Amino acid sequence: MEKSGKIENTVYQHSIDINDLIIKKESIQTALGYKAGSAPDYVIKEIDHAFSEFNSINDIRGGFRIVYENPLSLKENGFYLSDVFFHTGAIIASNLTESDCVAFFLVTAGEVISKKVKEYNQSHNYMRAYIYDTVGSEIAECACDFIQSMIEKKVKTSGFSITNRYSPGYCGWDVREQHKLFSFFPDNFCHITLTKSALMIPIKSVSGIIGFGKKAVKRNYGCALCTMTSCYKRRKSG
Amino acid sequence: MTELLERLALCVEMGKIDKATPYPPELAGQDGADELTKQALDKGISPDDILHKACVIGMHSIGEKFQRNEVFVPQLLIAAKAMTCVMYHLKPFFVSGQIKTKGTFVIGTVSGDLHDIGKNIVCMVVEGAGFKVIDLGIDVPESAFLDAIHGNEGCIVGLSALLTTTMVNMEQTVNAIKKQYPQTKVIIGGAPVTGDFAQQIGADGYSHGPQGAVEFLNKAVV
Repeated sequence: MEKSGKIENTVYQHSIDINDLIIKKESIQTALGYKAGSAPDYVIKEIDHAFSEFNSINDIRGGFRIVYENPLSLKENGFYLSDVFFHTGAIIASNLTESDCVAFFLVTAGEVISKKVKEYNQSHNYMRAYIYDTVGSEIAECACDFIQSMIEKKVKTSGFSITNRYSPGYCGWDVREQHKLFSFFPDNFCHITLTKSALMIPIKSVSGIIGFGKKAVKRNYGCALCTMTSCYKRRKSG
Repeated sequence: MTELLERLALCVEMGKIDKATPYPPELAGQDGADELTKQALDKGISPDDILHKACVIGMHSIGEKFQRNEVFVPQLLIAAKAMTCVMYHLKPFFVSGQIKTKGTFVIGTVSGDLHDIGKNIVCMVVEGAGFKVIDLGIDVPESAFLDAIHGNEGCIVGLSALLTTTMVNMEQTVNAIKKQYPQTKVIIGGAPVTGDFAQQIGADGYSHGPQGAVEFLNKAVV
């Protein structure tokens, strides 16, 4: 796959086994707003219920494309790749300064979760629907961790390290830019489609980029600079 | 009578739907919202009092706690479920006109956006505050909002969006409403929405949570 330190522009696609993901129940409680150990028993039971019901889902998918462009044409507010300018904003651009290239990724927790959430909402089981939705988001994030780890392993063999991952809609990157990102993948990649308003279907899907290079480093998200108070990255940054 | 309504308010607040509901532990085995509403009606307590002196009080209390981060969405949602149970018994009285709602709230997620969790929570809390709620659903075009306003004179409109891309459609919808129905009050909300954005697009209000929406509506109907 790798030739003389270069990585081919290949697209990788994977079906992800939920048992390969490290999903922590404590993270779900945090996502719901509770401090560790402070969630009521019935909330903990619902989380357990979601875990047992989702244990058999088999439509989690993820994939990535490593685009080898050296040097990456980095600007103050983004970068050029194959004549496409990604207007990521200054926060992300500054975190890519040591990157030589980028990998694009797409991940989905699948359609089953969204269907379950809809079902429970329709039967007025609102709390279960909400908790299932939150678990679905966490599964998508854990699937991102899985794909990020695959990218890291792949580029590491050529002596590269990676940055953190960044997604359109976060860290000042306009969600409309997602259309540019999708243009680097085949249609219906990982069974994910993008609406005109840049909404991914299935809803529990994530897209993004990861920079890599000989000197690339993973920095904490620049939450102190961002105004998006509801962002999950802020929660994860503490 | 007052004691019954107080117990009912507590059941709504704590999400004690019926006798079988195991939470909160201190009310285990006791009657819940379902049984207490039936008892209240049997004892001749007016449906209007059941709504305003129990249901609204319970939902207001949980809404305030939610606003102060003392409870979180799951607790708000089980309270809403208990409230739905009370509303089931009160439905015939809404139809007959024995219960007067404070006003009508038309709400929907704007065109291009399929998110509904935040909107649904607002719907439940606003209904629990004594308003009639007409939920137009998700991906709602301007025309559907205009039709709903036409069919519900004096209603207040709520627009929800979760994407920065669909915030644009929020502006178009507000413009269309204000052009045809300049007196109609519009409140907007959703993760990327801010008070500044509301002002910028000519909306009358903004709230980042359900309780703020209730406060806006209460002021709007005075």
